[in-house]
Amino acid sequence: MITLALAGAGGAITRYLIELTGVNGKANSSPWSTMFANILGCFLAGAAIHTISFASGVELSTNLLIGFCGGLTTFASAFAVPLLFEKRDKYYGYLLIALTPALSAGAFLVAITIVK
Amino acid sequence: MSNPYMTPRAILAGVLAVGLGGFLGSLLRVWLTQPGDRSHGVGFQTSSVLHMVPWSLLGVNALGVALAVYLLRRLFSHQSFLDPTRLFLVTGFLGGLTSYSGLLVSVYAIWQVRPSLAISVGLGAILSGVIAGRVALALAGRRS
Repeated sequence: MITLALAGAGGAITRYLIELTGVNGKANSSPWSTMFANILGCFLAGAAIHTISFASGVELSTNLLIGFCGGLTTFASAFAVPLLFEKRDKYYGYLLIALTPALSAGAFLVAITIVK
Repeated sequence: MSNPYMTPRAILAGVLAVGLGGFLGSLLRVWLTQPGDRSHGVGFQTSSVLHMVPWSLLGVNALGVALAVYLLRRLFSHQSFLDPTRLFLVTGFLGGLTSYSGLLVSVYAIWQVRPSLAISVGLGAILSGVIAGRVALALAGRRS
């Protein structure tokens, strides 16, 4: 459990460094950089999934999958930041909320296809 | 990195805050979602549809969205992204607590057995995130 949490901390730090690239002059981060971290994390999870046995009854758990990718991706900020947009940007926020799972799932499936 | 806010010291403080928060958030997620692991697992030991649904991960994700919305609106509405407390709580702890990849792995695992349920879980996760966020927004009230 400690190893998984350490991998999660590594993933969270990686996401933070990605989000730093989107920080503007007012020190606000861009939601697009958070989306990129989510897509990257899901791509890595998809790439890792076939290194693990998928036999029935086998538990799917690796440090990379649950730990690092879990820390690299975030559900909280992916929803919270767009939901806090001003009224005039409401639809832009919902577009971000809809795009993140679509692109993340796409990256996940592409990674599975490549690694297979 | 010409941004005046992004000094090496601020970035390093951020790494420490996010790392500690991410460690604690991940630890809590693993602890909450691991037991008997049907949340991240592929090995379903029951044919019951209800037991395939990663309830704990769905709950943790929705709770994480609600807490993030509440904190960002009530406590950090005037703080920058680089505020260490915000980095610890929102970017680190809640980021580590919630997971997109874990959700996708669960949905993919369910897809192997029951595709219609996988679609329902995926859409349900998004819907629960939006609802949790909107409820938290209503509770937090207007920007201070």
